[in-house]
Amino acid sequence: MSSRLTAKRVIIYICALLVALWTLVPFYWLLNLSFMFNVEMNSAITHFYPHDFTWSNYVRLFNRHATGPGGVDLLPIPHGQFIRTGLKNSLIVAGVTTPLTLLIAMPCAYVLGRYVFPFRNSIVMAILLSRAYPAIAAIIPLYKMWSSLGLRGTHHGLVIVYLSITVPLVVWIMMGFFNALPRSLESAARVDGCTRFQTLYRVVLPTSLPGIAACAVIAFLLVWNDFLFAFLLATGSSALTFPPTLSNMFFQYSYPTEASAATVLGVLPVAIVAFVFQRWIRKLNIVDPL
Amino acid sequence: MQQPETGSNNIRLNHVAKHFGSEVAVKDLELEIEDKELLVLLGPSGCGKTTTMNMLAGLEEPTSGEIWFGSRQVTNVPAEQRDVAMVFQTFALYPHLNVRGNIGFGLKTRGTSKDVIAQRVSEISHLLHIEELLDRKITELSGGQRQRVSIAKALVRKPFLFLLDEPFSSIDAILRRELRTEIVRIHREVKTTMVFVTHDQEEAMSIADRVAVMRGGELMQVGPPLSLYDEPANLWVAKFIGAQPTNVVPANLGERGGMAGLFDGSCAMQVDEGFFDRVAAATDSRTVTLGVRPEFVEVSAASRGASSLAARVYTLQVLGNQILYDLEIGTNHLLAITSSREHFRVDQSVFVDFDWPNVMAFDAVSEARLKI
Repeated sequence: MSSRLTAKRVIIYICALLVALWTLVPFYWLLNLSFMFNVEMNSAITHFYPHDFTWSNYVRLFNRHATGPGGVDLLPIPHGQFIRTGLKNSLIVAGVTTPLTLLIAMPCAYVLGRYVFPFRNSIVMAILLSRAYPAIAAIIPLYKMWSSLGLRGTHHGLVIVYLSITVPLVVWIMMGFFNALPRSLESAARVDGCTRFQTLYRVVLPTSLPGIAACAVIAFLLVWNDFLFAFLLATGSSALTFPPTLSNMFFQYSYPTEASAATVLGVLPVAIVAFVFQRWIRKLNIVDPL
Repeated sequence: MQQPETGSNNIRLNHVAKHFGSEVAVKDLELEIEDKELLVLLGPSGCGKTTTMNMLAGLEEPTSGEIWFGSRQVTNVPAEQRDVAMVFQTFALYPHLNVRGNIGFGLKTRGTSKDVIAQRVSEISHLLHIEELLDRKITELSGGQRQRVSIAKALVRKPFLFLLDEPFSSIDAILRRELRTEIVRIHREVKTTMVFVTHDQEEAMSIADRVAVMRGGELMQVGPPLSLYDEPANLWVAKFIGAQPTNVVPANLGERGGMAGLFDGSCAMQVDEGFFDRVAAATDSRTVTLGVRPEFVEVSAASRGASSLAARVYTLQVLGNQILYDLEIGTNHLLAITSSREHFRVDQSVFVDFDWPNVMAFDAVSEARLKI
């Protein structure tokens, strides 16, 4: 019995290792390149680790000189300022969209998940349909509308578009979450002296923290990763977010080592957000209906 | 409808009804719950007992009728403004708080000071023997511990009315028996009006001061457990109350001193004359339904004459100090409980007598019990 258990464990660990490799190898390669000089990357076989480790690709993104192999002076990367602006814009847009999404979606999901009322099913279907709608079909009309409304190339213009993507998704996820919470929990809160509103923020929301944290990460990632709408609605403006900026840099102005360093900078905020929220998300599976 | 005059803290349901759409959950309920009593609302699922409890809690509003807490009308007062505490079948503890936080939650919501909360929590956890659990997470507790915590959580507020909605149904049988005793002890110590909902008649009988039996949204009978057992209002209550089902025997009593036809008339026995006279005094009809509890069915090896019915032992169950016989009489069956000293075999021919002073009679049509 115990040997079988051990065999099972070994298999699980091997599988976990494979999944980890699958996820982490590309990221490792990105880090690898970002710490290399361009010369080393261009040698016959790219090394599995930087033989001549350097921070120069990062330093040069911040408008500074660096010293290359053989004492060569490496100039600042000209596109660095756009990368920095892109990061700032992405942080602003994702940082504003995420809390707004939660603020709008939570009450909506709570009501849809908890109460039966006329047209509830129609509303739920409409929300689901908005997820089934191909975003690409909307971009030209959206471009025209945002141009005439003066929303094109602005942070709030992007936030509004992103809310239309994140809110339905988060409503959809949280609806199921709220619906699965035991109803007696709310009855108990009412008997314990909470008004309907107090019940929501003193009992339902704290109980739902794991789901809310997961939704926050999902919303943040959706916004952070978006290329299509940012490219369409913010190209040529000072509100351009990170992904299109990186794309410009990669195709037009830089070496892969430099672009790798820029990409690592773009991954960091997501990693930090995920790390901050993971302590709640980890509890996701133990919210059993007591 | 005027304010009730009786005892100042009695709870009164005045013609209360609750409809969900076209479905009637509770029908014209008239019930008075006495101050500091432990009343059990008993009935099969769907009888309206939980709806009644929710209306007492303020979680549901009655469609019509009034609810009075003493001299205070609370019919449309929401739960948070009634002084009511409730224990739920599913415990309903807050998973984001620890045991201490859960017990103190209701006090905190009502703005009680921290010192008072701490003191009350320590008192109540002492009463329920859960002091050592106070800093645990809810997820670390067993079912029985969770239920104790949820009782503590309800009691800590010293509510006007304490409601328990099938609190032991998700707990195993042994612990359930223990907690029953516990509830009676707690009720005696806290001296609060308690309403306890259950579908388990044994549970109801063992803890209640009074039992209110409900069926299909209607109140069938209210009374102390023994009076429900001895004097059921009707045949349904007679069958519902009691560990073993009451034997239901349709009978045509015929003439005084003559033979009575039992069941579909397929067998006959001589009815006790005293019994006949008492039934005759209560009704003109000679067709009645007899209700004979299994302990009042006597089984013997020898016939006592015309008053005995010939039967055959179909099955038997040993219940410890007693034996439950399923007896076959023609195509009909009777249950009998005897002491385990007299032992009959399966398929053995036996004779059945009724202990007539304890036989109940019901109107054949209305099924109401005849006062005999």
